[in-house]
Amino acid sequence: MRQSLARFALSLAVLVICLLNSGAVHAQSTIKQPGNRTSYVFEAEPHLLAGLADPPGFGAGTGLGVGFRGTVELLKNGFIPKLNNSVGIGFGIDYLRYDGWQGPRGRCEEFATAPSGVPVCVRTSSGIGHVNYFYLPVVMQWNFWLHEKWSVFGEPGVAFFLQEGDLDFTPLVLFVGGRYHVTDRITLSMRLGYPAFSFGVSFLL
Amino acid sequence: MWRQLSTLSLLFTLGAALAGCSSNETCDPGHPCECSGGQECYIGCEGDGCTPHCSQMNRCGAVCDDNCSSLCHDMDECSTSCGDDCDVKCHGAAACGAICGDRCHFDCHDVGRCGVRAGNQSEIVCHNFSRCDVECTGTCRVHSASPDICDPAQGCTLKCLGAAALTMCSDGSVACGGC
Repeated sequence: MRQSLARFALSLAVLVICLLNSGAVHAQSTIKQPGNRTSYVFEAEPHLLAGLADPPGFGAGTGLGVGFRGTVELLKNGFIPKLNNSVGIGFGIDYLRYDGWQGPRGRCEEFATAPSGVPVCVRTSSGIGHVNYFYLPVVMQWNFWLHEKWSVFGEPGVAFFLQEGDLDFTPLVLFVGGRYHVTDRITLSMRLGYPAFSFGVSFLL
Repeated sequence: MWRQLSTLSLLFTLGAALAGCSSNETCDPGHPCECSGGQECYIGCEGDGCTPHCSQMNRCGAVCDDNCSSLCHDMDECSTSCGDDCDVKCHGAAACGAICGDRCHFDCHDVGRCGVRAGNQSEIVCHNFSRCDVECTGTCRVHSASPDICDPAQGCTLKCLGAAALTMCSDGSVACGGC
């Protein structure tokens, strides 16, 4: 977990550095103009996913998948009145398929029968293969509308996840993301964080 | 447009590089080796002195060599297959089974069905069970608690597969060979 947080902090630092170096923040800035942005009530975002750190639960390795995030705007003017910021609540469903398991989890290749009719495994395989995850995140999305073409957000929240028939809960999911506004209502959206990165298209409806 | 797209690509690539990926652990003697959660897990451990541990899943099993110490709890079905000098503990399960070699110690409690086929000079303890069925290929002894006497009428049986004779001991245990 500590390793994952360190990776997350490094990813966040990379995001901030790249945004500052892009020059986007300075030209045509809207960050000091509260409310100066496209008005919308719902953001629909289908996306591709990459899980690059071990997920919660017993999966491990790298995961790839698809998902959808829907965000409802709750506050048109967010927690900082002088800035162009807003707050929403986001709900999602994400599917990822990871390529491994934590621990030496294998499959039984041959059983023998012990007394009482109890099956006893006498030969194992080395691996069980992939593991499927479904995440159901619920997050607070805090947006900062930096520029006509760019906005960024932070998303702390929680998530339920279903892994191979087990429903479980992780008390912290955390993302930072950015949007490149292709048009007023269509953006390319990227999200860095845990448990998975995403890249998709957002429709501001 | 391309500049912004390349910025996003750079971010994603750098993030991926920073996050990296982790490889699966292996189960080796002398290292903790645990499976917990999910439907099933079967642990194979080559070499003497393995310590497999299973908990909180439907089915789990360990296959290991000599001097194996396996622990299994809060399961539906648990199994251990090992060589000589094994210590097998199982509790809180619907069924626990083991096939082990000589000098096997099998401890099974709060389990619906305990079943073990053990080698010479083995010791079996069943406690709070519905069935405890033991087969010994050499000498062995079977202790029972709740019920205190290992008796077929109470669901506790011992079958001596080798030359050793079945013996009822004064303390309520049964043995293949002498008490």
